Amino acid sequence: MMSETFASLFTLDVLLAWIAAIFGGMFVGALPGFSATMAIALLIPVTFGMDATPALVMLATIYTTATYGGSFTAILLHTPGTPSNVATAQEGYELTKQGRGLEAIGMSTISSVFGGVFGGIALLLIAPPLAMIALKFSSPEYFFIALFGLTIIASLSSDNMLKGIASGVFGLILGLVGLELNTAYPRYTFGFMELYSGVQLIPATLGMFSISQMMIQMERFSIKGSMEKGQVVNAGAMGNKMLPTFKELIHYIPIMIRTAILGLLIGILPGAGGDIGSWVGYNEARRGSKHKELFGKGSLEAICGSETANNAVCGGSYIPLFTLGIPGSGVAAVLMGGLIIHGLQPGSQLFITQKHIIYPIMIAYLFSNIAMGIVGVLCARGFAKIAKIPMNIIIPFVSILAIMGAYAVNCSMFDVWMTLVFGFIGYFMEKSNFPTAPAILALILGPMAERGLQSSILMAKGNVITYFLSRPLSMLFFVLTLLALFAPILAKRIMKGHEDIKTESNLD
Amino acid sequence: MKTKLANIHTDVYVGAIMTLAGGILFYMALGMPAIPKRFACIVTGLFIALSIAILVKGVKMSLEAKDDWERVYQWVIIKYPLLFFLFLVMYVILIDLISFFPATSIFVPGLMFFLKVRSWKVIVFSTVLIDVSMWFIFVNQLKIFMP
Repeated sequence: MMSETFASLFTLDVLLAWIAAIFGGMFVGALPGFSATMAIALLIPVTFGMDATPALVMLATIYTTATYGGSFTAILLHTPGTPSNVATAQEGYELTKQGRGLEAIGMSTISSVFGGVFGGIALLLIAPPLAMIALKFSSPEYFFIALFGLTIIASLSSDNMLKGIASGVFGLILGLVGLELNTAYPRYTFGFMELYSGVQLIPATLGMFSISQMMIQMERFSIKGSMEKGQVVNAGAMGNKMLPTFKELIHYIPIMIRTAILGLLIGILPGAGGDIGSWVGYNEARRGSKHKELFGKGSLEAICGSETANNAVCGGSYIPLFTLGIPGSGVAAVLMGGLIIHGLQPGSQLFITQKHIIYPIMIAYLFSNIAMGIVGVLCARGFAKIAKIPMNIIIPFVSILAIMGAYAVNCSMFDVWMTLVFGFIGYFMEKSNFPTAPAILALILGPMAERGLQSSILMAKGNVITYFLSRPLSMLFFVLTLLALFAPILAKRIMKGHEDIKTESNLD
Repeated sequence: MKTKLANIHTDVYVGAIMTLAGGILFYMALGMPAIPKRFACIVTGLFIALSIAILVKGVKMSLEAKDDWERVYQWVIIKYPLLFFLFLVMYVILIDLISFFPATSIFVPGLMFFLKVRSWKVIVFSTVLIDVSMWFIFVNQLKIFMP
């Protein structure tokens, strides 16, 4: 098994895809305003012509490398590349002002590698046995799993749950479009033959995550009358020292272990992504620190905590995705789309019939965390220059890539028009404070929920509720669904706790 | 009158549009056969309920007249995003009319000029780079038949 896994890993196409994902992910991560979600959405169509293994190695790797790449501009320019790097920006930029920018990047590198490797090992150890539970699932369980996945919607939009749920229900409506599964009755197709196969995931994803994001970037043009010129880092702010000494490293290891465990748990927990993970890591680092006075003024411990946790989140979030088919975040939802498009169905079958694909993906993910650290150390100064690329050059490139990506799915101009429609809808959803990730999540899970419900009704032969109650696994997922609804409240409290700490630090 | 309209929270408009759209979809679901109707009615019904909740919340916020909410739909803010969207629509029409590469060779310089890039070297270099990279990814590697 191991030799088979490594044999499929060490092929030219997998290695090239892997290297491209490491550099590409770090590049996108370092670009302010671009997220890992958008990078994965743009790349899915590009991977169509590839075999499943290199394609998914590429997509899975990008999440962790983009999260790390975001710390460069966060530290050097006070501009977090991704939402997961906000805590790092606060502390890292203070260090840059003190002429210790490179040292902060060094700490971010060591911590990100540690957190990423920890998450990768946990993924390899936890996912296979957990997936075997899915062998016992039948239609009622799949219905409740979909329902559980849909409650994540609430978590994804903890600041405005009502709009988050509405966005999710909008996604469910999109999932209704096309021929109904049992009767082949065309629902909401409005006479378009192209809609008989339903709303395609890729055009919807590209529209909502790429085109709408470009439109939001254009607002900067509206407000300022021009795009800001790229920022440049003062060479003196970088300093010379990058990596900590062995003695210093020993001091940081307990922080890394504690925050990696927390990050992993947050990744597994549906709805709580890298942004919450990084703040929890920051909080934990501060709690155990002997130098609390440095927090808010440039603390390496703070960077260590937040960067370890946000990279551990990445591996954690793949566990429910690969084993149960539950995408716990926007990134995971888009990645699930990538798995489905390449013919992989998350769940037990992934670890039985498709293990020759999933194991290389998990192992490549683990090693990508080490490789990104090496690239980071060698190219730190180069990545800092990425922020110099002005948006008015990036926008045309990303727009065309999104349009061509949508076309490439079925070689259909209808899909291109759908991308524009979803871009337009996505922009106004973002403007009106409706998160777009729940809509995509529901578009994936909606048909699964309907199929599970319809089959359960047939299997129940009468009282569906009694049938559900007679199945322990269904009940377990029902309880988990209820628990997931309370996750946002918990997350809100954590964030509030952090804000109190931040205020306290500023007062100090 | 203008001031009064400006004080109406955007959620009122959004909620009203959503309720109307939900109502139409629910009505369409009622006309479906029993099995496809079941889930469609549940989902659209839920959508109407949530839309009404958003509408009511918006009305409440408007009546409170605190005036501390952000006016996100000011023309000055959404002007360029909408113009950009118009550029994309024209680009897709152009692709249909004159095929992908000529359309891209017009769209990229046009959009960059609109975004106030004035260096012709940068414009030409970006256009060529985008055309070549699209050809390499989609034609050479993915063997896609370009529009």
